[in-house]
Amino acid sequence: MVTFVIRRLITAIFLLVVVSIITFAIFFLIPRLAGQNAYELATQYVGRNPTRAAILQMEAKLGLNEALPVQYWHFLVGIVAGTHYNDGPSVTYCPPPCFGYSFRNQQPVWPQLVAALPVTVSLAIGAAILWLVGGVAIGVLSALRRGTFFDRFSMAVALAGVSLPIFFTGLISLELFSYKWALFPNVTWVPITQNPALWARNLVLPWVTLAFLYAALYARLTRAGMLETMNEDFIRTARAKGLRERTVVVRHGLRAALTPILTIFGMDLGLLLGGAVLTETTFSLPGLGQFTILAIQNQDFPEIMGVVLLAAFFIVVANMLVDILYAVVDPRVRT
Amino acid sequence: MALLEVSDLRVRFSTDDGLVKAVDGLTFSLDRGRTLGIVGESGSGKSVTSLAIMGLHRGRAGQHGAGKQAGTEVTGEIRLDGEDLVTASDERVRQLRGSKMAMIFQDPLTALHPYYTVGAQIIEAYRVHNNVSKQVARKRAVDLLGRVGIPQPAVRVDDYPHQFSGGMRQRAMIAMALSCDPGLLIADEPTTALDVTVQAQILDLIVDLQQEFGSAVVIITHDLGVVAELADEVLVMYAGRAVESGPALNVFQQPAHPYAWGLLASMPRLDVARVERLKPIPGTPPSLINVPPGCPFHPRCAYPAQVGGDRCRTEEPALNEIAAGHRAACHLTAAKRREIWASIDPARAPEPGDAPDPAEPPADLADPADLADPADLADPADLADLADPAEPPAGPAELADPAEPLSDDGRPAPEAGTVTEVEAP
Amino acid sequence: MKRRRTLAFSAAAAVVAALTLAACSSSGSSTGSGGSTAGTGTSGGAAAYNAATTGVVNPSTKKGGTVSFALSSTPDSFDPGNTYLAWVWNFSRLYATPLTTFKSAPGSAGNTLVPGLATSLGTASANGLVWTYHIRQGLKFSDGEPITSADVKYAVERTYDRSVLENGPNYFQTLLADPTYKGPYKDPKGNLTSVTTPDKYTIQFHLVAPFADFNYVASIPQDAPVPQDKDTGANYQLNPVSSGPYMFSSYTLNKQATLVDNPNWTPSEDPQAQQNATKVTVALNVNSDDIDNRLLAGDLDLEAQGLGVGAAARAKILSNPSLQKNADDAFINRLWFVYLNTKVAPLNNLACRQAIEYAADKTDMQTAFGGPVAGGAIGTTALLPGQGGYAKIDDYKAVTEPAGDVTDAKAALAKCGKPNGFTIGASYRSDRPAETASAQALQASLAKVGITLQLHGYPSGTYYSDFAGVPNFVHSHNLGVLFGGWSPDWPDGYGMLDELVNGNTIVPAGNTNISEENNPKVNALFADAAKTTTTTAQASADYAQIDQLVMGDAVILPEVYAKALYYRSPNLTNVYVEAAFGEYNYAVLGTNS
Repeated sequence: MVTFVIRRLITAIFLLVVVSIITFAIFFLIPRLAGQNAYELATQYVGRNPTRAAILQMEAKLGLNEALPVQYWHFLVGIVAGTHYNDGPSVTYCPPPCFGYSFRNQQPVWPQLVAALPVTVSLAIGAAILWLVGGVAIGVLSALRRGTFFDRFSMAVALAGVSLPIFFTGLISLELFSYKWALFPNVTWVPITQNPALWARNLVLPWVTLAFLYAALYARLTRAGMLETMNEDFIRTARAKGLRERTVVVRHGLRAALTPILTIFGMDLGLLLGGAVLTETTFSLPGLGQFTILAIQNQDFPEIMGVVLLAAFFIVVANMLVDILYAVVDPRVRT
Repeated sequence: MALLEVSDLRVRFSTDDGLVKAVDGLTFSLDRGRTLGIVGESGSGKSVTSLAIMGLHRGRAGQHGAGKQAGTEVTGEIRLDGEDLVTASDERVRQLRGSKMAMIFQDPLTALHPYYTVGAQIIEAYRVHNNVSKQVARKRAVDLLGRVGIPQPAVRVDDYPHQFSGGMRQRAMIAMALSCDPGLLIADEPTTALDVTVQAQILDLIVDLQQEFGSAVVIITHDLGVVAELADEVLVMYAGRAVESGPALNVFQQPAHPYAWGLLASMPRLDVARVERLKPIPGTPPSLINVPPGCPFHPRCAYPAQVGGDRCRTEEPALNEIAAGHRAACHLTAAKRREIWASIDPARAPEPGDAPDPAEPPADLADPADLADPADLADPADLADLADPAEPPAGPAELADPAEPLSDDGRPAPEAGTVTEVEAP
Repeated sequence: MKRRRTLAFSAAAAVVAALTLAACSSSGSSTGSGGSTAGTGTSGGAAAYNAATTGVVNPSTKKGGTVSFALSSTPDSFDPGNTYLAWVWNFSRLYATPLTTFKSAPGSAGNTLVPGLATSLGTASANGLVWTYHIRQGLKFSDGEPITSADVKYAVERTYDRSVLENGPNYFQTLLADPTYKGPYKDPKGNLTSVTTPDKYTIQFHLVAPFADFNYVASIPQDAPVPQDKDTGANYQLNPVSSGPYMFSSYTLNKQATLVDNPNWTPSEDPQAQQNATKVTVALNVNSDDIDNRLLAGDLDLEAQGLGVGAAARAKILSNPSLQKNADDAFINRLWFVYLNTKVAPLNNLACRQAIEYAADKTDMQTAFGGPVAGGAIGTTALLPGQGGYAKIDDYKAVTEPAGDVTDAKAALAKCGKPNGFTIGASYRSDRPAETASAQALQASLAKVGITLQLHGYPSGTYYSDFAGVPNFVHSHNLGVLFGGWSPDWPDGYGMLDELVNGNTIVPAGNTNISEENNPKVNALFADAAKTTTTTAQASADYAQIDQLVMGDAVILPEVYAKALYYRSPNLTNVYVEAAFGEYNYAVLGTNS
């Protein structure tokens, strides 16, 4: 098991390095290949109506004149060891991991990412709990009551949930529950440390909107998995032992059916932690997703790199954890 | 009073294609300490009978339109120790399952939950009917595993099913079934998924345990060799009905039903030189929705002409006693029966003119690949192939004793004085 | 140089939402009664549609409460020395007072320059090379330190280091006589020699050449005072020391900024600003539909960027009188127009250019920008209404025949020797939906007289640096018709026209005189207006003439004087549109709630 984990870790690090190289190449290699020189590249990152001197200064600051591998090396060193940055009157030290300074506001990127993280984490984990519990429960009930009205109705609702885009359901829920009937007025982010009750209240609509989509998916998946599992031989054996039906369904049936669900859950959560872009934008939550949009709109390379690597980190870690979790849950995988 | 008494059991499923009469009027009984072998092709209703006894047909979660008795109708009586299971409540039947009656299944790899250790599953089976602590249950599990012949049971109790070999798994399942000391053990094709040498061990085990625990055993199989090994009584099922029942010895030596004749005649024999092709039973098993009128076997039977008139086609034969404890459902007269059996008994002495061709090698029975195909039952010729080649086919005189050493040429010589002679009535 | 207004790019989501929400339009939130509200305010100034474009709505001197802003993105910087956004220049007057500023008054009076930190408008020396300002005495920063001329000098000095503060305009660098100064961070021992401080309350700017509009330059927040010992360079934006009525109490990047009263401010510090509210909050990165809905629901006071409301909210407002009385359809200080290049044949012939002016369907182009309310009024001049020298000339019947004047167009075509029309390339910014639609509208209307436009779209980020703003590119790609827009850095003819039509401002890259207009008369008028001896009235007359000549030269095809539909919360007091910014005047707001 230990070698398993170590191997996964090494693969994870390797993946992250590859992601960083690709992102770096998109920003600095492709324009070169398209014929832009360092000066022209620097023009994009400098303010409007720049003087020639300003462009040259930016060129030097970004190190655009250096060879690409050297630039990349500086960037890597920054992440691992931090860099020094001249913010005007003084030189500050940007501790590792240092993703550089945002072009947009000259502030270090990493603290901005860290500030945005609690928002996304709150949103993702709250919604995840809702959709896992709700989706699985409905899926199980639908499977147990296959063909009944409950089953058909819930699967129809699930189909709607999977089909409707988040910005639609989100906007509808805002229109109804926030503007029209002021049940949740002013949906804005309030940190949990500041006011836990308000934090939760303001997140209810985003949680429900996000969870609705995923719960629908999980309900359908769970239902299919349960139907298949309940036909397995070991279910018959469990009944033959005289176990209560509820024990059979939960301990024997659901336990086996959940394994693929858990795998998908890990991946979904990992992806979501990288930024629930649509939900955050719809509800104006200042999380990683919104940060990503801002960074892209501003072509702010350090921010984009930071958020891409952070998202990649979450996905890679989630992938790794899911692999390990699978080995924990299914003993047949461990050998 | 017998431990298990089944009277006129009928199990019907309503399907989109019609009403499937899986079991259509089955009656038998079984005493403690005795073994009943239920034999038949797939579709004969033997597994459905066992499931009906266990109450496993009852409204199951996940069935289409699930609710109670989702489309399954069971009528008749199943009395376990005097208590009728058909009319009992779901809860009562659940309480009896595992504690008074237990079942082991064909494929132990899929029948055991892959995520729980074997020990945990045995403990679970034990604790659902006995209010004991986990430690006590665990000790019981270790004891049981040892009892069924698993080495190092204290270590193996924490292993997962996939870490056991096939035979060990089946032993573990037997241990689980016996954990609550059930009076009735139903074994549904317990050895079909195992290879031959392991089969023998498992069957031995079942015999031992039965003697030790004194339970009644119902063994369901299509393998005549297994029945011959274990069963005190045999029940031959066809199209959901019993067509012949009785002491195993009698049924094998003096079968009374044309279906049984067909089964026995189609088995290849090692003690008789084979001069002609194996004789399968022609035709295919009938549809259980549209069962042939009259005797369900008549479309495939070679002898309706000998019955005279249209009786086979119009009148369903009752399961009549033809000898002590031996019943058969056939319109043939006793005389006719003996005559026909004498002519087709494969154990009869060779007639002059039946000179074996020395150049012809004996039928190749020892092909293990054929043994492993229990699914292909439409061809009765395969039934014979599935017999254990290490074990001589059941001779007409007596069941071969597996402990008997084989003669040098691999075939036991028929015992003197056991020539098949049809006695004159 | 043009001051940028952030543009809203409505996502497809907004379109979907618009279709849905327009269908379920609410009955409208209850709004406060119009007319005078509680407080010691004067009567009059009732809420009505467009009331704030001509007068003050809810005038009041009531103190207290919180004014809440929201915007859908982030400021380029709250550092007054590092911003080039119109709304931040407007908003920065809450905490940064430049030497001069604009009169806080509704209507066209809002275009007037008045003293800010200075006691009076600056005066130029006889040769026009030295401008002198006297700073009001006894004023204090928010930390209690006195404000002196050294602080103003330092504020200008720090903007010279473009590697740290890269956003603001570079007027100071180009006008002052010391362009090689590297800024205080890189050159801590040196100083900007072209700015001198003879005493604690006097400051002088030494120019390289006379520049009549220097008082406008002085209104840029770059010269709002900054204490050197509190300057943190790139981090100064997080908590600038205030010289205005409010000061920052907290600023969470990307999320929210909060300002509270500056206890060390007195009204004499800047007579144009007021300290009415006790708290001002700015919520950042709020979804623009969310902003609109919260405005209408009464949960928010103002949208900060001066973008106006989106299409869905606009529909609700215009169809509901109780909402409409809180709305203003204001000019936003921007002209959308088309350059007609004078070098690319056959547009080198005046008559061919005039043909385009006649044939263009102005109504279609107005619709492309959003119609009369959301898009703007059909334009006929290069100057904006309200700017000194603006006159309602209409050489090409844009107002009388807004659908296009085919007859005159054909006559002009005949005159330029192309009676059956001609083919010419056209450039526009393809990532701007309104501009794209207007290009297509022009293409359609010109086709009626046989002029074929070949449309070429380019990205807006590099439009001026790489494409339309590069004369060589324009010539080699046969681009005679080029779409653009302009928002002046300050509201006079110079700010509006100099970079557009002055022959001396043509540059090989980043060019904004894209028509390559080089009319000696026009150039001479610019030079005259730039003389410091020219009075404002004379300069206005000069610009009026320039406008006439330029329109006569048919180098500019005006499309619309842009407008936006603003919504003001009924709780706000002292609300009016400040003409110089084309937005509500943020420096005087108060609240009734």
